[in-house]
Amino acid sequence: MTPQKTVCHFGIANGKLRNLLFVTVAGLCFCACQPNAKKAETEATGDRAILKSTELAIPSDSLRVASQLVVLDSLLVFKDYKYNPLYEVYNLKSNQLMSRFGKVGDGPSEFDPYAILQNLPGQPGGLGFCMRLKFRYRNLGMADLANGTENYMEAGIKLPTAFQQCVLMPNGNYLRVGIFDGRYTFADPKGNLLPPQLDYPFAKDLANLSFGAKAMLLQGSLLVWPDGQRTLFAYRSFPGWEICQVNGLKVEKKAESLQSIPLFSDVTSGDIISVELKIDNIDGYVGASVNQELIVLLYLGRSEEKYPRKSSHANQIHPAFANTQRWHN
Amino acid sequence: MPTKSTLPSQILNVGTIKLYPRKSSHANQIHLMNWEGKLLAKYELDRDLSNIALDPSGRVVYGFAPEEQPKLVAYKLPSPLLTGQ
Repeated sequence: MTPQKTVCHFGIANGKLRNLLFVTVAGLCFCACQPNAKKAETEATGDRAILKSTELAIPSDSLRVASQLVVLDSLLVFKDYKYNPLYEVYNLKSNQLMSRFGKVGDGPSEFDPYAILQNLPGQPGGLGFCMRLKFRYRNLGMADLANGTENYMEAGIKLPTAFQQCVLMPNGNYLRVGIFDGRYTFADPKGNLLPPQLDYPFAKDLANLSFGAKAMLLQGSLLVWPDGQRTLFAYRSFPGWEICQVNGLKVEKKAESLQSIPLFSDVTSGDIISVELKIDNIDGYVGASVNQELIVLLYLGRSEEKYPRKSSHANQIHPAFANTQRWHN
Repeated sequence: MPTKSTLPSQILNVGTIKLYPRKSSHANQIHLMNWEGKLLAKYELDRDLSNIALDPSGRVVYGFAPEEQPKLVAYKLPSPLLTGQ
């Protein structure tokens, strides 16, 4: 505990430590210069590689529950559940907080706490905000984000009926994803709804379910190809997705993966609908992001061994969701 | 009556139905596709994420890791993927 002892200890080991440090650093430099150094970021285990994360150097002490991450050039924008302000903007190059904005409230220019943040197709650097409680949609440019000031925006357009997701398309119309009144519906720049297109998946099979159950089952993420010509909808409650081609005001399905129909028709107990789509049933894509070439889906597979359902009702539901696993194996 | 903080480790009673709540909806797998719907790759992640964002270049996926000390993280995608191999 005496200072002398400490100094003596380091004094004896100093030379060896210096040599050891030199050898270690030299070895690390040698390895880093090898062509296969990128293996540090991926590690093959079995038939699937594991990607290694790097923590961002931005000050994140204030983070609570960040969601709806969007990258614009060198800016990372996301929603954090602090409430007032709702959104944070970080510069990924300088690792600095650029601004916080988005006052939550009931006022016409204030934000809906259930707002969804998204890239604006056809407008690089633009962000859209889909207000699900207020039925409103508004947008914002990158210059507004980086100026470090609170942004109070205009109220935005109001759509006449509820929607799950909504995106301002490059043609100036709003593409809306509904739940019960057709899958896709355009709204014109004044907010007037045009006729719905495409029915929701499993429409016939789910016809007898409650609206709440259908809403839970069919929720997901709507993303649009940066040029606005294609859309992706990834389902949250089961591993399914659909890609549509957008031509003007026409939406046509190009590809889909709806592996199996959840067998809810086998479940006759009314109350089960309110619990069967709780978090332990979710088996789908809990996150998604796109660019011009790629679609990245964050997949939540169910771990049946770790989280078994123990109710008698679950025995009826479980096989329906289990069937969807085949596509992923 | 369990509190929110103890829910994941306890049985939640919903009426007469007993559920064992899943710990969270955080996921550690990503699937990559092209816009034709072709599956290009599946990767496991070394952390559970609740949200992701793809860099416009397609080389990096950012994510939020809801850990005890929440983190924003980045994953560099293997470069062969970018050429569709």
